[in-house]
Amino acid sequence: MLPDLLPDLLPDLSRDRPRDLTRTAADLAARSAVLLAAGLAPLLGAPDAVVGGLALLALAVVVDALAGRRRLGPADRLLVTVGGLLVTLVLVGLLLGSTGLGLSHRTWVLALLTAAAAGLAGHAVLALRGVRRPVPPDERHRPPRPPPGLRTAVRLVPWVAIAAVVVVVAVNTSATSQSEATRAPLELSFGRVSGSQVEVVVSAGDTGDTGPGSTGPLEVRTATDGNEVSYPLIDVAAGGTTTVTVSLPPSGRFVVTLSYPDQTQPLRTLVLDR
Amino acid sequence: MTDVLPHQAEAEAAPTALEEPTGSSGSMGATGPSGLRRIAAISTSLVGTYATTSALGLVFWLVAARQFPISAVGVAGAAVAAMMLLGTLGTCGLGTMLIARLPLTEQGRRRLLTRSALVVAGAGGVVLAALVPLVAVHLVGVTALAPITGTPALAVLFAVGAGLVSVSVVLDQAVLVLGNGSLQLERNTLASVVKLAALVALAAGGQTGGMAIFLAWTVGTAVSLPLVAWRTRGGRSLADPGPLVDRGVLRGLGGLAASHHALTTALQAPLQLLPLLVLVGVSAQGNGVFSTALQVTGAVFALPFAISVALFASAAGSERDVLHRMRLTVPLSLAVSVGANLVLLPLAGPVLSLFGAQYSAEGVDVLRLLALAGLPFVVKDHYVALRRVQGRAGRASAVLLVAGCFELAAAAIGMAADGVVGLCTWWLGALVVEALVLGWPLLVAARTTATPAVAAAGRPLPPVAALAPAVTVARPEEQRPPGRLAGLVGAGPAVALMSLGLLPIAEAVSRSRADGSGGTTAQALYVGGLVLIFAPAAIGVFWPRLRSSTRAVLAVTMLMLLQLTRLVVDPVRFVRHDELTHVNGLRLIEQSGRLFGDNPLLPVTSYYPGLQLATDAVRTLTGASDHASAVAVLLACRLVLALAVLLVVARVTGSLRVGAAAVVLYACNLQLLAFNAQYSYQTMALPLAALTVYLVLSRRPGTRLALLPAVAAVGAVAVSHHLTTALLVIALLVWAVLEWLLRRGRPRSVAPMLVVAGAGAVAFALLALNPGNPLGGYLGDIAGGSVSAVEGVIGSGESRPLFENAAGVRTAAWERYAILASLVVTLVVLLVALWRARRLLAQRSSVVVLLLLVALLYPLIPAGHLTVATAEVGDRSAGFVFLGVAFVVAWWCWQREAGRGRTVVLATVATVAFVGSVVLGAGSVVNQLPGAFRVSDDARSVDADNLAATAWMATHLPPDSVVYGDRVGGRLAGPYAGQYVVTHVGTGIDASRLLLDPEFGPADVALVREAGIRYLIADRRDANGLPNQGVYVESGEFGEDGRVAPVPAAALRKFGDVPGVQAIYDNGSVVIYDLEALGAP
Repeated sequence: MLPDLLPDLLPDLSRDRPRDLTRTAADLAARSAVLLAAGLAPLLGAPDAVVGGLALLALAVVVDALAGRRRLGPADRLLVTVGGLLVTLVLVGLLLGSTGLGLSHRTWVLALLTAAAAGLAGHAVLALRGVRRPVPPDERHRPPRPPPGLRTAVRLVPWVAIAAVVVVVAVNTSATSQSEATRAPLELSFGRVSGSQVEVVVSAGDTGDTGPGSTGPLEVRTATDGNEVSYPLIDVAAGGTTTVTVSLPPSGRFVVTLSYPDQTQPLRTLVLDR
Repeated sequence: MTDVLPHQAEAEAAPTALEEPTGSSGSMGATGPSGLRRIAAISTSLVGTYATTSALGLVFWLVAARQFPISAVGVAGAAVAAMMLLGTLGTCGLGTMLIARLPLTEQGRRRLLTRSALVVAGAGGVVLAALVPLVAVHLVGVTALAPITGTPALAVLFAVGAGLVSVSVVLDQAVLVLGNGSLQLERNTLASVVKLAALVALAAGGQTGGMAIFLAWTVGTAVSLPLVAWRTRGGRSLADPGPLVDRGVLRGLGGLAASHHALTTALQAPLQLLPLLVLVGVSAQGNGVFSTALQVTGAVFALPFAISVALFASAAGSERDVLHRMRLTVPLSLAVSVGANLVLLPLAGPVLSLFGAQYSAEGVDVLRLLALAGLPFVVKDHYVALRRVQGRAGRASAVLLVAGCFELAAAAIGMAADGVVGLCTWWLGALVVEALVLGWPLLVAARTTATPAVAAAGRPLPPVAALAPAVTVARPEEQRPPGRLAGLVGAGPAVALMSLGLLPIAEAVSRSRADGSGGTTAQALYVGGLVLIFAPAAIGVFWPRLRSSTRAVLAVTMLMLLQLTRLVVDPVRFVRHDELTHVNGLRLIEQSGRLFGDNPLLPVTSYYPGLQLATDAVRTLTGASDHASAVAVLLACRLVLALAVLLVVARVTGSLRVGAAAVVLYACNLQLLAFNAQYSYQTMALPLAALTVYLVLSRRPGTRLALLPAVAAVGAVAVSHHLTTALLVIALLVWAVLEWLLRRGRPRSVAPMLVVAGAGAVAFALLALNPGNPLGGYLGDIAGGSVSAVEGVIGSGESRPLFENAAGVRTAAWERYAILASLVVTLVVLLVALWRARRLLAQRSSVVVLLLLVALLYPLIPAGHLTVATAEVGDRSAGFVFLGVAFVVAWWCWQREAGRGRTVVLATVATVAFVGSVVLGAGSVVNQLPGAFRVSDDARSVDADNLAATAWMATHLPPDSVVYGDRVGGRLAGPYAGQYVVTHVGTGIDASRLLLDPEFGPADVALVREAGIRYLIADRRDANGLPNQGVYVESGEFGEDGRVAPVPAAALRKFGDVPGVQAIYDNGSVVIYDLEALGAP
């Protein structure tokens, strides 16, 4: 509408400007190379992450080329590229997920490469159609001045790097605090139950109740029809698991508790009814 | 503290130089050597005056420290600092005005003019000192100030003291004309001696309170004033038979005087507020140490300051002279400051030991840090001198105001982190940053001193009134070159600065996790971090003479950083209610490789899997974790949203800077920080909807494929979120209608909107008609609930309690004020902007009218909070409504040429609106932070215990077992344990009585069989309180109506006694029962 009045990020509307055939060809070749690499990667046995990453990159490169055709400035190009990627992923995923193709690494790669190839073909046709003539030698040899958006981006790089470091530090600080604050509780559960042998599993958090090393001593007790049986005291290593095998009749209702030796109130209680 | 603080002295020296440059100094300042001699002379005079009062002041505080408790010294230090600040503010620049007026006033009228100024200044000081503490203590609740003004007698004493300070400041300046140069020194000396005597007398009388020290100070000031009256008495020839006071003579307070007064106040305010900050934030004892150390360091600041003042005073208004002499005075001042530091650093302990052992024990680090502050002050003082001589005191005031706020904010953060030492460290850091920023203009001015460009820099540009066709905003700035500094550094430093806001947030999160309470410090850090992210962008988008690209980068960066705050708060996994639902949907897609599976947590989400599809693509292709992939997609969505808002508004208005402002204002959308940043389908749909609008708007007319991107985008919106699609289609249709009405001569211009709306409608219908899609029932329930709630409000006046959650927990007082301030500010600004925007209607632009109509919907958001049901609907519409609000307010803001003062005001208002919206949309700050377990309170209910139970289920139960649990425990079992969770909304079966009915009976067995529940997850802690989110499990649950007490503990333990039922897991909080014996499959 009025982009010619907008500086830097909305630069110009000169869409019909003749373009340099050499540059166009080089641009197409570079993008095709990325697409080709993405296509060859699975054939060469590259790891899945490399194959997938290249497929995503190829799609991004093609979407960027198509976005660049709008010639509405770097902000528009960035928006349309990122937005176009998301739109493509959603629509391609819808196609895969709602048909018999399914969503898997293989189908994703194939579908995205197909979409990228189609997009690149369309871009090539439109780009070559727009080429009128090569730029005269005197213009071609003139050192190109980077566009304002590029200059802005280049100037931002070190600061964005600083910001990225800050982000990493902040996230790491928070993650560390979460790790330190999330102490797993003392857990009591059943393990394997086989005939009269019942495994009782005791798990402790990373920090023991009685010190940094372990939790304990603890006592496993079983109660059957008013008869209580205590098992040898155990210490559970911090972050570790201890299994106590108790003997119980093959049928009936039994209560298994975990307590401190000198306390009657159990810390944890399980019920086995069979 | 001395009678004349270093920067207060400037108020006296500056006008002298201002008003007398053409006389004596005019001839003296022209040449180098004589100018330097003049600097030396003035510096010596100033330092001499300051040294005398400073020495007596040191003795005063020494006696106080020896005779009074340290806490009393702290109270007195804060009281005196506050009195000095309010007293200076109370003068309203009248002292400066007297300097200008008195020489031009006939002898007989001089006394009347002076008396009138003194009365007005005294009254100003009294009123300020009476009102400010009143508001602070009784309205804001700063109870730490109670020792200063807590009783009527203390309040009166404080007010009188401030009034006397106002009088003395004005009088000191008046005597420069009325009396002679020594009179000021005489008065200050007398005041110092008297207050010292009064202090000794009060101490001998057994007084031990801090306000006794203050009283001694006040007495000294009061006694010194008659001296001036006596020394300036005149004979009969000067007798004034007229009235004692005449306000009329004060008319014409010059802008020049006002701007210098503002500059002086802005310069000294932070230094005088710091003791108050310590008193309120630490303790009176802490302030005793701090104030004493500050008093000692006064000497470090004095000489460099005096040199800078002398520099200005001797320059005779010549910028060239100032710049020339700065080459000597800057290194000289730095050298003096370094020398003072070299002395104080090793001797800090012995110096403080003069005041007492406790001072030396606690104040050594404080004194050393404060002494270092002298170095950056050199730059700051020279900056002020330069701006004064450039005649840019007004702008400098605005800069120093922002700098002062920055200093105080940094000091507050430091204080929260590490008490008084932290305050000093962070304040020093802020001063260093300031020095780097303020030093740049000095360098620039020094380099360009030989060119006429400096003189032209501050010249206002001619107004540009012409509007381009179909452009709604005049864009004068884009025709102006950017400022040199701004052009050179761009947005980079601000980007880095904004990113630093994440650090206090991380610290707040860590503290909150560690102590479990999300205390005041953590909250302050959290809000401070958010403000640090938002405020620079708010300033940047309105700052004059910046490149539009710089504004755009700042605005977009701000939105991205706000998105990253979510990662900082929850760095490992998604834990919020809606997020768990969508992560579960992602798990189902990953497991099956198919879409439209059964997500029992919220079935409708399975039919709108756009967000999960993009996440699955990233995860599958790159091998990253679910969480990392989701975060990457969310960041991409946020980038699209920011750029789309930017470019839509830029395209509509023809101005990128308006677009950047719109992005910043869009951040005041109350859902932006939390709801529209979480892993939920609307988070993707909203940016894609904005992208669709942009693609329609920026289409290339006349080409067949121009609408293809927009059609694809609306298709992606339809796959992502139902309601967003519906609203987008409606908006496009309204746009088409408006286009048709406003441009009847161009019917073809309607077609694009109709084509995209049609595509959206078809996609919406296809998804809605997908077999099994429960959309109709889902939206019907929401609509029905909202209508019922509205009927309740209209019919019986029923409304939910405001500022209180379902468990009766009230929002903190400051948060209530922030919310109200935000709403009021937004409403007022919006109304004004809409009223001004009515002239845009004449341009007959359909998209402008559409955005204005959308903005008009804003009042529905706060109104929706009258009921629970409509609050959610209203809040979730904010993402759409704010597109219109941001547009019209940003347009209005740029209707006037931006000055720096206006920028500060706009940024401050925007920040207030932002902070309030954060609380209104994301909930109380304490709830936004992690912490100890709270009953049914979204992320605050996810803790180690239920995560451990979830992890156990993931490894010990067969996948997709049918489980049932409460609102959090059950929901965690889906995404993170791979279980099928029975919900009312998912199965139509309300099984809540299993957990909430204390009696076990046949109904329970029937429910278990009907729903096929195999495992029951009981969190015994639910019995500890009412559910903060209103329900333990789901809306409509057992016992919800009229609930006034927590669920009985027996209800959560009853299955332990049911024959056949086994308790297979227990971690003290969470117990898992196996219900197979009850007939579960």
